Amino acid sequence: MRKKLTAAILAAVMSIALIACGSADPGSTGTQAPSESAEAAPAEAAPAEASAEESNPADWPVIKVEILSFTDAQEKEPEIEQALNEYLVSIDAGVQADLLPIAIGDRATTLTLMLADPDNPIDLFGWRFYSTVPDMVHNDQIISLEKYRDVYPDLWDLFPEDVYRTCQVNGEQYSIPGADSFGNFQVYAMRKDVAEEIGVADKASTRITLEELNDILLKAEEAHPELCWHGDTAVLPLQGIDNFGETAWLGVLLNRGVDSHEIINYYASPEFRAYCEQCKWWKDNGMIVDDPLNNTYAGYTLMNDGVGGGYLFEAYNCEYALSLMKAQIQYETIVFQLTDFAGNNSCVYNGWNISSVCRNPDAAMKLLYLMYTDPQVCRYFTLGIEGLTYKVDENGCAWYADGKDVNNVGWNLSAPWFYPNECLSLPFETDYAGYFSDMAALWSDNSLKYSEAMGFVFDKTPVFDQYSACAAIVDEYRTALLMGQVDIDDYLARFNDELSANGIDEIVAEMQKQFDEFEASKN
Amino acid sequence: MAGKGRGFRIFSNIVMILLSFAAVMPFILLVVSSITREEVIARYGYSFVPRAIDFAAYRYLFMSSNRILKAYGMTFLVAFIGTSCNMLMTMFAGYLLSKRDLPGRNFISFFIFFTMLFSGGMIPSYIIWSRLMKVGDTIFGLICPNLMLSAFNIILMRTYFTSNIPYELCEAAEMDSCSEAGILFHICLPLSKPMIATLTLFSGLAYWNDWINGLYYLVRRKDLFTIQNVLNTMQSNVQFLKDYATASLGEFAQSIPSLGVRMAIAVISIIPIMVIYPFFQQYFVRGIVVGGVKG
Repeated sequence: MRKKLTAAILAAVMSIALIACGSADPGSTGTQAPSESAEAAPAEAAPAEASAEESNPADWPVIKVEILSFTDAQEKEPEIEQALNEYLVSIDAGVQADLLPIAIGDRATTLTLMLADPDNPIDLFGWRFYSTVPDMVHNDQIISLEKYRDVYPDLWDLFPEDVYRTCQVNGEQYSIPGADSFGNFQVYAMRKDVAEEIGVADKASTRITLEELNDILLKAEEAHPELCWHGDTAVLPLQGIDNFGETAWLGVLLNRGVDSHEIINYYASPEFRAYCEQCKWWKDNGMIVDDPLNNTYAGYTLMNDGVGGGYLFEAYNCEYALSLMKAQIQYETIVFQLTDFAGNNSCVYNGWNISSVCRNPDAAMKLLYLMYTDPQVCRYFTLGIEGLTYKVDENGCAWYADGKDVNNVGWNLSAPWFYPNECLSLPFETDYAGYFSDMAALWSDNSLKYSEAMGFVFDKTPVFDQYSACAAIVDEYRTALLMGQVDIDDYLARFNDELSANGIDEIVAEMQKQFDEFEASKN
Repeated sequence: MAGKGRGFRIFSNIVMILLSFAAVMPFILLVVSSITREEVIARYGYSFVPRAIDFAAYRYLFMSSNRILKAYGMTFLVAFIGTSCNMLMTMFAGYLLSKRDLPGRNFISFFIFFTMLFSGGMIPSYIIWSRLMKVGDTIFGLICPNLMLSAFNIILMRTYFTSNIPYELCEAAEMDSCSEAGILFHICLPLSKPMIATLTLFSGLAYWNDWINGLYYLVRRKDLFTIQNVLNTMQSNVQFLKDYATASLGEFAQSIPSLGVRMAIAVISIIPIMVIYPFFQQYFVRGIVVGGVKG
């Protein structure tokens, strides 16, 4: 009897638990209401403009927008969403937003599933860290934005023309590039105390040659043999190549693609050999991190851990570089500029798209337009609500609101670069007031050089087998060469022999053919 | 002869001690690494004796302690409900398939076995469960997909019933007017305790360790996350921030100890299983041996 009673109680508890947990409580997240509205919106909803004029805000289409989250919860999301929607009503936008924070670690899976689910779609999202525009078009995940070119012409005038090309497929615009510098140069960051100790601090923020850097590193190594000074395998601006975003570098343009039209087999070039010799020299002089083939620590981590004294990275100007260093490194640093500014495909980091499962693309485009052009809309995404999540100082720079920090603010303020136009935001946690205005100034600087291959995407299909084989060989050989771990004469020769035997020449020829067609279509 | 036996026992014990030591060593390294300062590991590598003790990783985890405790509660609830449902269905299905006179028995067995070889893949499964079964953002999303019915468990159960319960016993009960349910509950199940305990452990472990369902089916209801979901998301975020540590990611990346967090996450998530496992061990061993040898 007692057993039966226990079983009955357990069954009742189970049933209650299932019922309680099964019901999605709209009040529990604060975001259910908009998403329910979105689901209730008919597929054939009228264009946003008509809705704005003819209906009240409660009937406006609700667009689900991705929010980048570095943690699994953004507690202030309901308040920020409400404030944003109140603002959208105040400007009679004709569209409302449903903010959906997605944790960065789960993002690829979550986005892939939502992009396949018309019942629970994501409407607006960025492709950075997720995919590429050609791949998303190939997978039918995003729609063409061409029909909006005439509706929102100023959206196509924000950035240099070359930049838009990087988000096109067959000449059709599928994604709008996210605001950025769209170009960079190589800098070397070094601990300031070391630079002062060896007497090179006066060269801070100046342009130096590679030979001068080597002299500096020799002195630094002599003073601090316990520190390493390099550990990165991909320093493309210093290598001077445009790899079209292809990580295997099987065909590249030299001079970062500026005024360059000939695709070459980089690994067989004198330039690659020279760079390998440079790496070997760093290794022989004790400058490379220990166990480089297994060490995956980023340069700034090595510096923070007291293992590294400096490292190579990219920036669009030296002040920006120093600003980054302040955020990343616990030591005071200085930077040296090593190359000239240039832009290529690899410098377009993000773009925003309308998903192919979006039920109201017109409304989504309207919201996207506002995200690109309205500073207030932009700041809800990048900074949240003034007073709640951030405050502004007299220089126009934003800081965490009083009593708030990265752990308790409830909103991700550290990723303005993820949203469509970060340059409408305010510099965050920095004294460098020109952080965004200097970046935006680059867009209208006609003296800046861009790669001839901006927007070129290599279609591997005709040489797929060769490409796969050669990429595997590159994985096997390249890191050892770039970390100076092997004898260059012998190892590089074997590397190139294997690449030749597996068809790298065919890859380069096919790449050149496609690049010529791309250039012809451009003209 | 006696001396030989003694020698063998000593040898066996030494071998087993060494093997046990080899099994425990990684766990010791795990615990030690979780309390070692990040920069010490970066500089000197892993060590069984911590050069500098630091609980930063645990502090980072316990900043989310409310969330972690709640997630533990969800995990117990999901594991309890899920395992109960799983066992009920496994026992019913195993019993039915053990009946020699079940019409279409071979076809049904093949149908179940087939799912062990092929699956529909991530997106089709997601669409079925999410759009058709509407389990998205509910606790059912954690219980129903993938784990509630295991073909492997059903086959083990069926094999146990056919091999270990004498057919004549069931036949005799039937002749005494016992119903099918009566035969199952009063004869078969009491004689199948080792296998039930083993499969309960299998199923419970599967629910305890599962994070895939939460990742797929809980997009908004993060409050339903189990401990594995919380820890997995935390680990994925930490790993991402380390892998892509550029530009403004630095502030976040700098504030979390990546290696230590991963180690601490592993320590925290296995503690409950370590506590529970010894209670099941005797059944577990017997169940596996019987199921394996006679299956």
